Amino acid sequence: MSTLFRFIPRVGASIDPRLDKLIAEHEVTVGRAPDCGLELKRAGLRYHHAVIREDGQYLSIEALPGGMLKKDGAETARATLRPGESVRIGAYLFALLEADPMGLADHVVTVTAAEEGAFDEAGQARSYMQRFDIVLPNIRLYAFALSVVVFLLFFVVPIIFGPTKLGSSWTSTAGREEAALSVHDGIFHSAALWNVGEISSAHKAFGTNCKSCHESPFIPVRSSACLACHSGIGQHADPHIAPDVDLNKERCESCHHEHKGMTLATRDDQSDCVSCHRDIKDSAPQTKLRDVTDFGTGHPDFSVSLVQDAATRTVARFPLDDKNAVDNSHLKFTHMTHLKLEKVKKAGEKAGSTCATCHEAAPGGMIFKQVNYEKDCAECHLLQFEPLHPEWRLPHGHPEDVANRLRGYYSEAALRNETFPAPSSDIFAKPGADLPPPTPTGKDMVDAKTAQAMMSAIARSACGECHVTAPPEPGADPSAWKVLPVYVPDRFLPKAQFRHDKHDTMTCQGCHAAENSDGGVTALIPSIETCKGCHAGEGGAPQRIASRCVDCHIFHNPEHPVEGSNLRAAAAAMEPGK
Amino acid sequence: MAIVGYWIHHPSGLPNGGSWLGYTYGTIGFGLIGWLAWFGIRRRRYGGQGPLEGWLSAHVYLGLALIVVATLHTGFRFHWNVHTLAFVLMALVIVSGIFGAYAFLRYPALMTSNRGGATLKTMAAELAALDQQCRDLALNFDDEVAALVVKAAEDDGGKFTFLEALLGRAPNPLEGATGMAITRLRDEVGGATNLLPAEVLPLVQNLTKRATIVVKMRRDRRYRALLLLWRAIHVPLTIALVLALTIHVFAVFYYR
Repeated sequence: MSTLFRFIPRVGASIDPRLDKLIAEHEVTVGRAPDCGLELKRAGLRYHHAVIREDGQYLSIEALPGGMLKKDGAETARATLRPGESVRIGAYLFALLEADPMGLADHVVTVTAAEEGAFDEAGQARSYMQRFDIVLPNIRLYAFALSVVVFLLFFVVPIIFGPTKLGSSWTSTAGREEAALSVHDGIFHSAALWNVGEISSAHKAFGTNCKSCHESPFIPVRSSACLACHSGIGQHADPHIAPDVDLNKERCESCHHEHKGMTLATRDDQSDCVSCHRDIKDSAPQTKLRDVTDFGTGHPDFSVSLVQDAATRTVARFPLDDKNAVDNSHLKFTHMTHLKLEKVKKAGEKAGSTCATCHEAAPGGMIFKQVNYEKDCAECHLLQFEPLHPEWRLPHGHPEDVANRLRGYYSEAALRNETFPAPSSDIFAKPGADLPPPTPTGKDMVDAKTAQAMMSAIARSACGECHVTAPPEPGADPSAWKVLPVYVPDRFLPKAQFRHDKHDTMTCQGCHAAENSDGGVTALIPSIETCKGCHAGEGGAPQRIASRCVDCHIFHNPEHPVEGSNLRAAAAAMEPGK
Repeated sequence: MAIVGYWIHHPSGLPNGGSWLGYTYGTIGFGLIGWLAWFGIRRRRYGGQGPLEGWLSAHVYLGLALIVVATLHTGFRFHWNVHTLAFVLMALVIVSGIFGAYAFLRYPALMTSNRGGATLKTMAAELAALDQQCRDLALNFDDEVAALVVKAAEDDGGKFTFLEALLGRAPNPLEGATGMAITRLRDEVGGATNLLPAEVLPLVQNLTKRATIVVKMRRDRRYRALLLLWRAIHVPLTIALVLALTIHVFAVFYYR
């Protein structure tokens, strides 16, 4: 048995007789391996691909493991090749020719190298070009999509849901109620998308309602929006004296900047103040103020407000070193006496006097409560008047009751038939002089003792010890002494805002020379040099606190309210239900 | 000069874009952004004022100056709003622009030296030719080895990732299909030895040469990507920036 394999190099070509191979075996292995009967080196063919066996007139072909045959377009593992039929093995087409009895071999098979499945080098090169190419993203599409997102989120959303629609004017009750209901914050609040910065703490209550302040688009915030609430705000100075700083002509916003964080940003730099106060007479010719440039280096010493008329509570200002300063507070008091412990102890039951014995800080921390007779003085100053009856005391603060009270005491004594010896001065009457009249009794005694006590108690012992008293008018009842009205102001340096509570790390005597003070206010109020022990001007100094003008002084003076800032009208408008 | 101004200027409250100096910075910044964005249109036009190189140079330097001016305009205050959005977009545009300038200074020279006179087309053709040779040589080996070699001849280093474009960490072909094929070929002739017999040597040489070209082509692609892709950030963000800037100015003046 033998098979003749005749090779056709490519489809459509004719048989190349030089390649003819006659194999006289019953069984022929086809593959790339050297041990194959039919060794074919071509891609697509396995090392051992198939076995061709003779099967009578036909050939039977069986694929070896991993190999595959293709007959009539269908893949198969086993095929019978009849004359005129063809089977594809790998890259080759095996076709059995009609038997030729005159032929050399029993079977003649043509083996055609198929183009199909061959490696396409040019195509591979193109594929590499493609694979190593850069595919640019669609930049225009991205740009468009991004712009749409920005436009929708940051323009359309705020316009539709945000600041322009939210709330009406804060100056109307409806607007305030609306704002109060819509108080929320954070990035999900669409107004926040346009908000340039955090709203100050005090304005947060209506902060999300943009129209509270921004009443009209493209128009800067009007001062009227501020004055709707800040109705009591004052001018800096009397506009007649200092016309340059007429706040009616200024916008609040020129000094107070909103959206700058938790604290309202306010112009507080010294240069602003000094620009006028350096030569204050230039801007306010009538002023009595002195020039200031810096707290540390160019600030006059303090002036104190001293009482001129206690009845009308008028004060006048005197420089601290003014020897002619007049204080008419109508109170006789020296700190020196009261702070000397032994003397205080001797006089009363109090266990020694300190500042806190009498001075108690008032709420707010700026000033101290007024010293009060009942609380602070009565323990020592008992207001006795009758040596025989030290338990008898006068009422404090009610001079009109004093006469009645005295008369009551002595009347009660008269009812008990008590008598009072004559004043000791009468005992030493000149020899030969008339004897003193007999000690009066009854109504006479009451009248005489009352008149005498009125005079001595008010003028000297009880009232007059602390109060300035006035003798009666000539011709009037000689016993009608008067206690003059008392006025001690809360603050002696009213132009500055000194906070005692912020200085509670200091001792009182550190600033107030009370122990050596024999009465005058000017000696008690510390001079600017005392302050300068810790404070320097705006620029600061080594181991000194940098202090600006506004750290002590208030810009807005409520004595001269800004026009349109009618406190009552605004308060009425703010009232709920209106 | 702008920084000195910022240093000297003390507006009331925190520094911000609303003081007179802030408005000055803002106006300069607005003008700069407008002019810089105009370059995108200018570069497509022929003629006009001055050579395009001059415009590009100014584009780069004024873009750098914009960072200073715009940052000072913010007063270093940032929030979740359209104003900060405009700044962030601007910062991204500038950063991508800086990268672009860097890329154009650096990568063309690297590309030239990497290609070594070849073009992308000749490299691809060489690769395909080597593939053909590898396939032909593989026919002498059994199916398993042949399959490995054919697979190695297909190896292009895998997917081109963003990380590779950015950091240049290309996959090592000797760890992939190529490496596997070479190892298998060494085993075929009796274990690891540097002296490979003639039957496998040409194949190993071809595979190695092929891998070298793949690495070069990947590197080349990375350079081209870096030269092109920054604009995919620079341009869309510029458009968005101009829009956000317009909204920023509108919003600020709407609520004065």
